[in-house]
Amino acid sequence: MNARIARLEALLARVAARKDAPRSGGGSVGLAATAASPSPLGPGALPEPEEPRALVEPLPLDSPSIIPPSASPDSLDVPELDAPLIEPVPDSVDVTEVELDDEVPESGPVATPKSEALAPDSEQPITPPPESVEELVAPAARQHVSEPAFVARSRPNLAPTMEQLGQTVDLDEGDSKSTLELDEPGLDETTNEIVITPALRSQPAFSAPAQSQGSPSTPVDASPQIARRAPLEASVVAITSQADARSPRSFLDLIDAALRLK
Amino acid sequence: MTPRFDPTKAILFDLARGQMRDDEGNARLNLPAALLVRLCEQAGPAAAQDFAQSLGSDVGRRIESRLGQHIKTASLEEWTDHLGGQLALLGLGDLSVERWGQALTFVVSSAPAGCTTFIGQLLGAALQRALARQVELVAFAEQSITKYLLVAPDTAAKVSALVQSGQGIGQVVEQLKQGAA
Repeated sequence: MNARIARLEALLARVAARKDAPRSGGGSVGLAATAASPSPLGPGALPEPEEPRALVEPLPLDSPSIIPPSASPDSLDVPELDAPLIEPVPDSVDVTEVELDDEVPESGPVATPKSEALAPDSEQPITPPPESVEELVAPAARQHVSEPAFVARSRPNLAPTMEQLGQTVDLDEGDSKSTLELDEPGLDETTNEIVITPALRSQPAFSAPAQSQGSPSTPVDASPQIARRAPLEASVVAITSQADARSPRSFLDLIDAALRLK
Repeated sequence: MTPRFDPTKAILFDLARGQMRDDEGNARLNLPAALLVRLCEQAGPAAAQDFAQSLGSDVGRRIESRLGQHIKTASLEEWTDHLGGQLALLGLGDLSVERWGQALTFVVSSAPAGCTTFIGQLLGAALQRALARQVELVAFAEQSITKYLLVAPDTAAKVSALVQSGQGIGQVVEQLKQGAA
């Protein structure tokens, strides 16, 4: 019992210290997002609080619904108060912050599922500014990693338009863009291979001339059918195919056909 | 069902009596091939041809007796089996038959040297005896084998001229096919 009383006193002291300490809005709003989502968000992605005063009002121990004034320390519902304190919480989460989160509804939009899915890389604008060359190249390079087919489709864009025909085109600028694309940090060698492969496929295929073109004309029946002693096959399929492959005509018919050659 | 070639007891050696006999009981001789070739050369082409045709006619008769009623309905493979078996019993090489479209070619390998013409005449006579067809076989000597193209007697001279001009069997068959068309 004494230990519980001492713990409650320590809790009251911490709450009083929090109440007197100056409050920072970013930390309070970040607390709500942390309670809603286990993954911590960076402080830069959090909006500034609009009503810091509202965070002071719902302090837990000042509310009579939590600690009734008429209740003695022995009759306190200690397990209800101690339950959240005993359970291990992440280092970045404070007990008071958890209690504050339940009564700060203005942090809701930050904790929406769409905000949870955002990765640190996705903080970049989806539509890059048209003046930024690097921002224009980087998303395209990421697409090459997962979908190399887009590389082939993007190649026709490098061709000059009808307005550019006849004008002097600086070839170094076009090559520098492709160099930036290949040297983009985060792209491994396989990415370069994926980018290069469509270009290799687009090259004309050089096939060796067929040897049959230079060879003299051979007769129509250049490969004879040889009759030898048929091997005995145990497989039914082989026997069937062998029976089908046999000549339907007799040897005498073949002799008569050969004798008609003049 | 067409009977297959059976070489069992085709040649019987009676060493006690110093005799060789075939399965029909006829006496056989075991002679050196080179001596027999020399004898044929000294006897002249006509005598050698008569000897080869007589031997071939006996082969045809044997095949006819083995095939019986299947003699005219037997397939190419069955004929190759019997004709090749008889040729092997004589020690005249290994026989196979090739079909070059409409043409038929008899290929003999591992035959004794100097027997090219002899074997061609023997095979022609065997076919003539068994099938009652006038045939001639023109030889195309290659490295270790000899191919015999089966033609009609009136076509044999033309084919021989083509062979003398250096044309191969494929070219000859092509020309014969164009002439028959």
